[in-house]
Amino acid sequence: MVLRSFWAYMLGYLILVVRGEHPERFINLALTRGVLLWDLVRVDNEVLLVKVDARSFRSLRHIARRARCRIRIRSKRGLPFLIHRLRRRQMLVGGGVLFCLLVYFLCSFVWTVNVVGTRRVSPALVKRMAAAAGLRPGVMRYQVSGRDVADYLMQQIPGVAFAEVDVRVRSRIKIVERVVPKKENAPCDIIAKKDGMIENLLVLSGSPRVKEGDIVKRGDVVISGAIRPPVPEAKPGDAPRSSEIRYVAAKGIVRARIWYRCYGEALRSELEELRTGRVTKIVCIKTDQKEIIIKGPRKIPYQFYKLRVRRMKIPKWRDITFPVEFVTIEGEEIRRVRVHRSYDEALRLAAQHAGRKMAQRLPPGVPVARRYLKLVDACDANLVRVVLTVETVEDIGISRKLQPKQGRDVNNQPEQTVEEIDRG
Amino acid sequence: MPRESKKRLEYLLAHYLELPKDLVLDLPRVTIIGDMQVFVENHRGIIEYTPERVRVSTSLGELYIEGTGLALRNIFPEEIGVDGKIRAVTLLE
Repeated sequence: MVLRSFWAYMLGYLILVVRGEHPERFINLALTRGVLLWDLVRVDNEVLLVKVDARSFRSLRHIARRARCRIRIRSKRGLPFLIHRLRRRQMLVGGGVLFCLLVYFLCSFVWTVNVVGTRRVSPALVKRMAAAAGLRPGVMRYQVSGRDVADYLMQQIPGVAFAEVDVRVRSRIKIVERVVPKKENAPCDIIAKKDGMIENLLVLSGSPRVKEGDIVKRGDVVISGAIRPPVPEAKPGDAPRSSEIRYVAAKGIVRARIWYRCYGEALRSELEELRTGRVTKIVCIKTDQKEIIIKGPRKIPYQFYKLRVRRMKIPKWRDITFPVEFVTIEGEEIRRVRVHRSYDEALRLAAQHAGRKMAQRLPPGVPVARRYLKLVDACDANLVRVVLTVETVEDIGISRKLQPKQGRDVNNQPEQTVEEIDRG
Repeated sequence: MPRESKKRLEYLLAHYLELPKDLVLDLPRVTIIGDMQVFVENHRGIIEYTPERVRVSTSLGELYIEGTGLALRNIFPEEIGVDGKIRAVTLLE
């Protein structure tokens, strides 16, 4: 079917209007004469639309006369007719061809160069290096070898582990940076980032300053990077051993039990504001002195309502500001309802409030070890107050560089600076 | 040979040799696709065509196609294709 319509288009076909009392006769005669008709549609009693090959039109005229029908060409379709029409509009065809050639020509240049995947290496540097290797906006695409540019980039930029260059109209340079292992040789302490009770402590290097079960405050040194030699038992006659302090990068896992407290309260009887669903909208134009209401009433006709005001100004152009403002005021009617709660309901609501606050405070992904609710005495019988406590076990150790002045040295060691370490 | 007995012989031949009967006996072959298309092979021309009905002449008699918005998709010497919403296909002897 597709093939036939394709050939019909290539060879050209006509849409004919056949008028006559008995178009069936016309169809049958065409059939016996071997003229192919398709897509016959009867429009009304006397009119039939027929598609036919352009070449068999001559024989159709004879058939029509015999069938006592009149035929008229409604439209000529297909490539031969299109070419015939275009022959009279050569400039249009020329323009189309020129356009295609121009697009093809312009596509042979690199127009933009994009760099993706950089984090520490600056994209500008990559672009500059690529330009030095030949890839820059404006060069012919076929003169640039992507592989050569990629090799050049990998050699010249130290932070680049791998580069892939896609030379196109919009060229793309994909960079994979070298991951440099973090240097952890600088001496440091591990300190607590939160208050808590040490649950377990695993020291990998450094000397511990707390025991399991100790309470630490935020900023306390948990594992110190300063290692003192063990104090030797003083034997008479021994030469005094050096008591130099070694500095290492403290490492270890510090897990502590942490308590979070959140307060929540609820009233047993209170006024609540509920939306009734009725909304009034006022649209007006405001100038310096005047206010013109375009739509809506002059005032919002509710006793209690919430307002939402949106202002729209004509943007400033050069030095001219327009003193006109479009203002949309939306008033939502609200209803005040006194709600009475039983003690249990109020308690549940207070717990919910506390829980919601807790969800904001808790760091994400921390498992909760224990959770309990405590009532707080309220002097008011109308009020229910609770405190929600959540216990978690978290990793609280973070490393901090050994500072020149360590204020919180547990054992009150003489102050030691990093400079001294270097000297040592 | 009288016409009736010739037909009988052809039928028997087609029956025992398992030949396709529409070819041997010159019968129309009507293919209906859903309620959208009807193809009639071995036809003998069109008797009437309006958007509501198409009557096709065949060796058995008249094939009457009823429906709405009927259009003749193509007319070949050996096949007629009818498009449209088809309601009934009847064989009138």
